[in-house]
Amino acid sequence: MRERDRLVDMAARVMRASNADQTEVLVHAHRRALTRFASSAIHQNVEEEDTVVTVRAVLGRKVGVASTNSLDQSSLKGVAERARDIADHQREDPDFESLPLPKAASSVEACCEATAGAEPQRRADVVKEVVEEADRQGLEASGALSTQLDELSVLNSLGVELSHSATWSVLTAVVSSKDSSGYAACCSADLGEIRAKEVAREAVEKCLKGRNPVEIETGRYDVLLEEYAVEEILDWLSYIGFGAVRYQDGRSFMSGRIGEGIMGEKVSIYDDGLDVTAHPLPFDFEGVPKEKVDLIEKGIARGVVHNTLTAGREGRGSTGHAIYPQAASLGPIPLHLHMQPGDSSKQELVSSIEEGIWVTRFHYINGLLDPKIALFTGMTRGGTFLIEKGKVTRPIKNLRFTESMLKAFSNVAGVSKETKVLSSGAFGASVLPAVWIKEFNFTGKTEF
Amino acid sequence: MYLKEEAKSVIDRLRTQGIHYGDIRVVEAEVQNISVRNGRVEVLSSDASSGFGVRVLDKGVWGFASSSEISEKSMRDVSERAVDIARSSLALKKQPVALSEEEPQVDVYRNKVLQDPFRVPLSQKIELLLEADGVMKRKEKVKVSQAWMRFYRTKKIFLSSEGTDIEQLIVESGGGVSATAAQEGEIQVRSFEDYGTRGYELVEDLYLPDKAEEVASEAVQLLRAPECPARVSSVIIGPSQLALQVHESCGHPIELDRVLGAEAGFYGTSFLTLEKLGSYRYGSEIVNIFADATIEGALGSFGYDDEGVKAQRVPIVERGMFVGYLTSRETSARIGQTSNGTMRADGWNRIPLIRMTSVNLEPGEPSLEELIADTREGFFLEQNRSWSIDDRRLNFQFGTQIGWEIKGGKLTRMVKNPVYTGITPQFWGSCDAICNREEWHIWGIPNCGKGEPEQTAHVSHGTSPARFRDVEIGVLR
Repeated sequence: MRERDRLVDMAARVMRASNADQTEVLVHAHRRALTRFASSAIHQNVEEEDTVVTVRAVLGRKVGVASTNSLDQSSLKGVAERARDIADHQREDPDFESLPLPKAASSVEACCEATAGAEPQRRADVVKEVVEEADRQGLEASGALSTQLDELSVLNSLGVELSHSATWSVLTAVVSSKDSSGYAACCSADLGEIRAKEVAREAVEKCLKGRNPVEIETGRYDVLLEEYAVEEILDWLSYIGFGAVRYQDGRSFMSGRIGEGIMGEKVSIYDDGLDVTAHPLPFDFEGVPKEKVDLIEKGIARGVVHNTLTAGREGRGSTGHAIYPQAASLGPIPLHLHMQPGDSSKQELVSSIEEGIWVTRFHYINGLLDPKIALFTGMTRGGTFLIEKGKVTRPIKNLRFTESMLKAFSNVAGVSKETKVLSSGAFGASVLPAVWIKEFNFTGKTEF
Repeated sequence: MYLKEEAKSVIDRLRTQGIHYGDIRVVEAEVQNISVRNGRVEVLSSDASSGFGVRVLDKGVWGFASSSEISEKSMRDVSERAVDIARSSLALKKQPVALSEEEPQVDVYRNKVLQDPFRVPLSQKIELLLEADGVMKRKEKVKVSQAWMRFYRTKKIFLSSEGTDIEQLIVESGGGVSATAAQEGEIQVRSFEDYGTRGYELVEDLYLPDKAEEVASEAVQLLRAPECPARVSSVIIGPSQLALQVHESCGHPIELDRVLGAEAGFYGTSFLTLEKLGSYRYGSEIVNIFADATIEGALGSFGYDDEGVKAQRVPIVERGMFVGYLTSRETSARIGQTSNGTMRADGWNRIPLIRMTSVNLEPGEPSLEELIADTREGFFLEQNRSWSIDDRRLNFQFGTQIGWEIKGGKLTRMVKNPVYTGITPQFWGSCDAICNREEWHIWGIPNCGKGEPEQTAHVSHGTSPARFRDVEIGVLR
């Protein structure tokens, strides 16, 4: 792996250059590569290397933030001065108490040399496996294979000094015919664990089954939401409700409802940044160790995630969920959502559905219609099928849903025992099952 | 910092190696972000990022590599890496990439800035934002007040193996206010924001404290307003919401890379397939849409795109007929045209993609007053709250922050939680009136997403209020 010591040393030099009352230095080095394919050919193939130094300077209760990716001595000194200068122009923040004090964080092994050192030819070979599976059926493949190595060091003048390195690899595949498409994906810290053929076969099978889709009427249907669809919903729930800023503002569906049943008893959702399978991060971007946080337990709202600032407002400790200081207005966000799996296989769940719809994933979910009831809308895509008398029978044209997720997750009739690790952001991943939801509201149709 | 000679030597080396095409972009970007929330300055940050990217086209396939380390050695290493990456792309090559013929350009471009936003004292900016925030907080029911400004300065050098040599400096400014009112478990949000390729003068022209008063009052009034009913109705879409409508239902589907499948794995494709060019009715006779990267002050204006093609104005929809795409050198060659210059990259570490410029709906005849007077029954809907559209850009559903019922040619009661839905060509086909130039404004949108790794583009849309018939509204529960 890259020189962790070099990053810590760089952060320490920036710290020494700062004459603020308190100083925090975050150094994030990354190397990322992505091979993208469309119409069964590689059309975009890119790599980047960058190291960003972000400084939070504190003067009393005034905080300034500055960053640079120029690593010469004068730029590093300059970024410390810039952060202090900004703090000087700031107004007192009555809520700000202090940067966090040091706490021991777990060490999580999250690096794999096969991913960190992946050459473009290796990525092309993996992509080729997907394309060949599609080609065999006369179908077109699109998608992307990414590999990344991230190294993070957080130091502050109160003694915090934490470092973490992680690799991550994601393969997504969309296999298309003239009138259908199928989606599949997988993620791992180890590029060698990316099962390209399995991903391709899953997408090909959905695409083939999806030929000649029929139009059905809108209305309420039972749905089997695959893990991909569940992830997209939970991402939005996370943004609009599982973080302390929106909670404290009263804008979250969790606000004022801690201890109340807001979802069905089959639903338990928690955040766990230490799960080694899910792009772990043992501490947050201000150097606070991550705690496992129960968000929903058997349908009951249990809590939200905090950073030092939001925790201070409630006189409690941070849960270790601060994000980049430049994005402070978003507040703390859970990046490692887990949903408790159930006892039945997806197949067993389907066999219990008299009439319903199998949803592979969604497109363009929006969760801002009414955040207090988590009213969402979005379109199905990537393989949408009718379930009749316990069997997946026919492909259907895509549908728009408009539904309160509090209502939908109160109507969960079953949760699969299978889970998938899925990732949609640069840091973090989710571990999620498929869910069977009763009476999910479809409100619109499209032409394909 | 730019090491122009070293950049030139990268290009020379690519030529010597017999690489078909190569370019290098060296970028220095600076962003200042100030956000105020409930009377406290929540974010005050200054971010600088510099680096370079080398793009090569070799044996009909692309490769791209980039680094933040700007040195002679790094430039040499990264350009070699880009060639290696391109060669790996050969493993899955179908149709070799060909580029449209374009004249090499040598030029320097700077957008017009009256007041450099990075020289305006922070204290002055904070004071203005706190003033706007304070106006909103005076309303008892406003629980969350927010005000913000963002400034961007991007310097770039672009050199290509064909002899193009361009330096650009683009300054962008913007800001906004938002009020969230709450009562008995209900929340209502009203907001306003705008951005452009201008200096601090743009922020002064926004009159943020005045806008703050307006949005705060309306957010509170919305708490008492009745729900927008569910029915099929005439609607007049206000200019800022119509900007988003143009963005999602016209701007994205006319991106030719998307049409050709480049985004099929992520953001989706487009219903405006190649055979429709020149013969497809996109909207009614009065709908005229053009893309223009040359409008002074508009977000999405520039001198040259990130392939070195000069900024242009191009027709997209004429008298309702679909007549043009946004193109690049690669995609325009596929349809026998030259590029219309819309390739832009989000920083030194990203490849350029086809991005909207300023995609605008031509104004029509009536004033807003005349249009409302001409509408017997309907709703006036304004300012986006939620947005969703399918992955071919056909079925859309948008929520707006506010609406008013129109009865007997007059705006009457305010309604809350309006939502409208439709199918793109049917919706634009039902457009029977567009307001005049007096009502027309170009709205800057600083967060248009596309591509993997994801890129954010700054774009804009000129619109005036327009009327659409038989629109399904209020479909919620």
